[in-house]
Amino acid sequence: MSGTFSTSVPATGPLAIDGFSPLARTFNEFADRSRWQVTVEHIQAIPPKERDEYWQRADRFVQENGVAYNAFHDKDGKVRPWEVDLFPLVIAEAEWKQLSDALCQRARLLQAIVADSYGPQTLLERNLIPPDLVYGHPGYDRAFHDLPRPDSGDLALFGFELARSPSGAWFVMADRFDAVAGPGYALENRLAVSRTLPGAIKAAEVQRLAPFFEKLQEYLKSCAFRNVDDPRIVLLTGGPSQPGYFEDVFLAQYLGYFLVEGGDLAVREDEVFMKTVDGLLQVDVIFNRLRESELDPLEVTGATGIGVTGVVNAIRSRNVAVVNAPGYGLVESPIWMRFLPKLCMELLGEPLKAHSIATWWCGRDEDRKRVFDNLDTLVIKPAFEYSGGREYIMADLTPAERQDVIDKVQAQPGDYVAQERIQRSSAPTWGKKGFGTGYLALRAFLTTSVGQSRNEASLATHEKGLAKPDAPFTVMPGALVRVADLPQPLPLTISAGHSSKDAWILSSTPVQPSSLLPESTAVRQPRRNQHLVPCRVADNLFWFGRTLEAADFSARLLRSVLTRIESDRPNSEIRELPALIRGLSSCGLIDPDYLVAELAKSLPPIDEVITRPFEETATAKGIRSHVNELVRLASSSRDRISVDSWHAIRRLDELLTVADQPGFITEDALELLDEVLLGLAACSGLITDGTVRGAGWRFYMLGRRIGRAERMIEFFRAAWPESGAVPRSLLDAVLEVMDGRITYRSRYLADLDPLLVLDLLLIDDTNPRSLAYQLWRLDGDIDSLPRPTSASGLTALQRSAKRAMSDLQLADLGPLSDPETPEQLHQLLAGIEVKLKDVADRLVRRYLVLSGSARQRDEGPIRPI
Amino acid sequence: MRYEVSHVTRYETTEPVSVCHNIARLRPRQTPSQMLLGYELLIDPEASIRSERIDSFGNSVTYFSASAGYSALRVEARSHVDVSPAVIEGLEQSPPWDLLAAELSQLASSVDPVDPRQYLYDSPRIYRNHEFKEYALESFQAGRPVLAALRCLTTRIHKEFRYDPTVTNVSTPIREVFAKKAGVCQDFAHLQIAMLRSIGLPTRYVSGYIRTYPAKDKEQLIGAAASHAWLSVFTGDPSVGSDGWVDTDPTNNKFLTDEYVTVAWGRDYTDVAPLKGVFVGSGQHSLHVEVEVREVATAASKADE
Repeated sequence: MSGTFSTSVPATGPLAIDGFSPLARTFNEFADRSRWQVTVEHIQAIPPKERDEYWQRADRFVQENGVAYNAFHDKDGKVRPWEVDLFPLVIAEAEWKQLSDALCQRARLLQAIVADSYGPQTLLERNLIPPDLVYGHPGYDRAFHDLPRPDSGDLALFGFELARSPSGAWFVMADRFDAVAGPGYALENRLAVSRTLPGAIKAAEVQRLAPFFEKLQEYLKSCAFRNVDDPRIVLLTGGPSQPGYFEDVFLAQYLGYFLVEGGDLAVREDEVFMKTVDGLLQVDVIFNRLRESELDPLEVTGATGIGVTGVVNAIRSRNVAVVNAPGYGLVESPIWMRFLPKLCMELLGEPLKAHSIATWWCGRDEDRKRVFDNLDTLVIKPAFEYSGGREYIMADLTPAERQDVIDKVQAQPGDYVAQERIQRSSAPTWGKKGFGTGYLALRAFLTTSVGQSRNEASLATHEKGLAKPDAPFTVMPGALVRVADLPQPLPLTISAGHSSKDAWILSSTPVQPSSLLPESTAVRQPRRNQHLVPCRVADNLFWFGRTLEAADFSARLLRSVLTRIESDRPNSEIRELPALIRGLSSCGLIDPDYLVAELAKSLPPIDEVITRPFEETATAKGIRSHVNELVRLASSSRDRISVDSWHAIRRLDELLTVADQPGFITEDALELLDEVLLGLAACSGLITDGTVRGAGWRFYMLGRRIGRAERMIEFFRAAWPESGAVPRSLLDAVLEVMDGRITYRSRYLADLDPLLVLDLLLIDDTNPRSLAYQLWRLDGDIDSLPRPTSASGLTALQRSAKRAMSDLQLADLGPLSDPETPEQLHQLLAGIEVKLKDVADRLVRRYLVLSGSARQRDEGPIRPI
Repeated sequence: MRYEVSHVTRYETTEPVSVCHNIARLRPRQTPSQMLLGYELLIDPEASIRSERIDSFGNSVTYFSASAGYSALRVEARSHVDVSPAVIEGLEQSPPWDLLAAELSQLASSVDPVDPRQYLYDSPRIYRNHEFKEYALESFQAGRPVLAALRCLTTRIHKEFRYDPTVTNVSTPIREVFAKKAGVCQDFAHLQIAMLRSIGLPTRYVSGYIRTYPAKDKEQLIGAAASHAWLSVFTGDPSVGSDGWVDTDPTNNKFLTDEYVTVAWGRDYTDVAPLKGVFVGSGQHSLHVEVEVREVATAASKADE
């Protein structure tokens, strides 16, 4: 089994690492002194007492940098299941080259198999494979038949899951093609390790990862069917509900592509467009990270609707390239491994170099007999599911479980394969508890390489007259290495394992010392399309701004109320309290019944309900729900929000967990509100400083203006008396809630006068907290939105905004502040409120929703009867 | 026999639909016993894009989309066909079914590995199981001629299952049809396919029409006035049926006659749904289908007059 795929290990004296004591009968990666020497010297030069600090630094980096965090899956903030292992796996250049060559051959083979299975089907015709492999495969979808493929090949990114057996030979445990997970994590590990051990990585001459991603970019660019200089490339993700979402965000940012969800794309006349606030923009290449079974709700059986309706026909019409091309899910299932050696000879005319773990298919009599004779040494898995799901390690089962598996296999033998168990190789680890021993699962990644001679690679295929000349591939010089505590089988999904480490592929030639992300010039090309904003992103940013203001206003109002309740005076003596409570109620922070004096009497006293807006079960508009919404919106626009802003939002989220603890009282709430307000200010400050002034920014600011204005109006209308004079204490409270106290005092010193208060809070457009300021800026931002070039005069949206502003500009402060005519103020504000709502509605309709979501037509009534 | 077929599907929506994408499989196939003399697909409002292709089963597929916005959509397929299937005879002389099943289970068998074999497996709406196998084996006794056994199974389903459109809907699983012993032609076709595949015989789902008789003339066949579905079994004997494929209709308990018009075939309904669509827009949708299969005079029959 080993053959050319195994490597020779020079015998040398062992290096010593405390805590590294691998089990006998595993392959010891660490035995080869020459490749480890430089790295180990650097690591050992770190004083033992500083080791933990180094590890914590790396761990913190990973925790804070995004790929790990997924707001939708786990409130604790971790979807990345393993911790960082700082000890790199060092691999010699020659060995890696040999392994890479073998993997490239395997890739060519699997590519040829997919091309044939979804094309001429000569493998079936020639009886080289049982028809079960294709026709009996639940993932075989007819919609993917005979799709045109880019000349440069149809694979953007794919992976092989590897393990090294005690003999020193590498084996492929699984083939990964469909939305393959891991390259983002591999990059992230590299970033963490290179920041923590910069000296070691330089001295050891470790090959950089960036050139691999440059290859990927080059390849994606080459895929466009349309002959344009600068094809538009998007990364299609399954969205925040999918496990790979954060890795997709990371990759899109790193590679500089638009991150789109199915709903961001529209197919019109067989061409694919991205919906942006500037209109529809044609897309040439889709780097697909959505599982192929979800690609197109119209054509793919069982697709749920998160994909792109009509995209398969757009591929057929050669108007868009989707890579990885749909169809590769077929060869992810382990049943193919049984037939690869034979198919490699048939298709490529050469023996298979990258061996699969030994695999038997129970659908064949001779295999089944062998499986039943050796059950205890085997793992049984479904033949057609992709490796990494259900599996039964026979030796670990109870007699009852064992019999159950045997019964299943005997009932439907064709549905199962059996694979050998492997003892994985060992290497030193560096985790939370210092150095130790780990057993390795390695995932290698490949992309199609353009601009190289293809002759060599495709000669054999060509002679056989099969498939088109296939492209050569580039292997990422590095890998995602998952580490387990035991050498026994490790599940093949990337979430399994105890920790994860970087792989260092040594270079025989000097490596330019450069770290990856911001410094890499080739990856960071100037982006001209920064101003383009998908509608979904603009919508998220709009709501983010709106919610941020709502949260800020609510927190201030709540703080004003709490301060008063906490004072020594009894509530009944606080004259302004009822008005503030009406304000709370109008903002949705407490039961709306408090607005109505009659109903309020039967409600619990305010002291008892005042902390509810913090609770997880809060009313729809409570502080907690505002913050939850901010986290959700920010997660969905991660590619548009800076890392710092993201941290600020997460911190805000964590702050509020205090309120869930038992014994949380109003006193704590006051303290918490101060922190929440600071946190909100940090968010908006970071966003203000860290966001490019493009269309995205404009929608964020529009959201803030509208959010602030609507809250102010709501509050004023609820708190301002409907008759009689405004109590002085209420004027003071209103100034406090609207953050105008300091300005008022410094400007007027004197007593509180309703006219002056209204001037400062409503009319004065130099006060950034005033209503006039919100409306004035709103009007300006709306004027600068993209609009049809054909339009003459003002749009309806512009007119609404200008009407709201002029209402306020034309207002006469005298009657507004006159206690004899309180209805004047209420009428003015009610009028502006209606216009503001119209502005928001038009804005959403015009820019943020270009079309609704796709629905399958209910075909029930037309079934054949 | 010559027919003019009109198959009208009308959608109405309460809110205008901004865009819809559709796949139609409405063009009758050419087969050894069916000639397509004319066909047109009328779409109103006119589609903004429309393309034709042949799918991997050999069916003709029309893809069209409308993006101009509409609140009613009408799709009419008009076909003109001539059908002349040979009568299925010599039931007891046909080859034994189990020899064929055994041959197909070999990797290197003499049977064309691509065509019949793709109909041996589970498909989106059909799966094989022991229950279905047991039911089929009561008709498919060891060594029994395949056509005789097929006739027997078709008749049993026809007798034991009640035709009742209210019991099932388009997505009712076959095990439920089997348990309730009731359904419509689609259900019976799916179920009989599942039974035949469970004993290792390649079987495909056929979508098409059955002739409409003038109302007072004669009792209507079940499934007229809508699209109809039946199944086709590979017998391994190229001298019968169409290249060895024999069609049988459990709903009407018939082999293929000149009362049937074949439109498309595939593994099950999923592969050959006459019209399938995804739309963008809100609101309620209603749809109506009308099918008419009218006999027309051939040149020969005119000469007789």
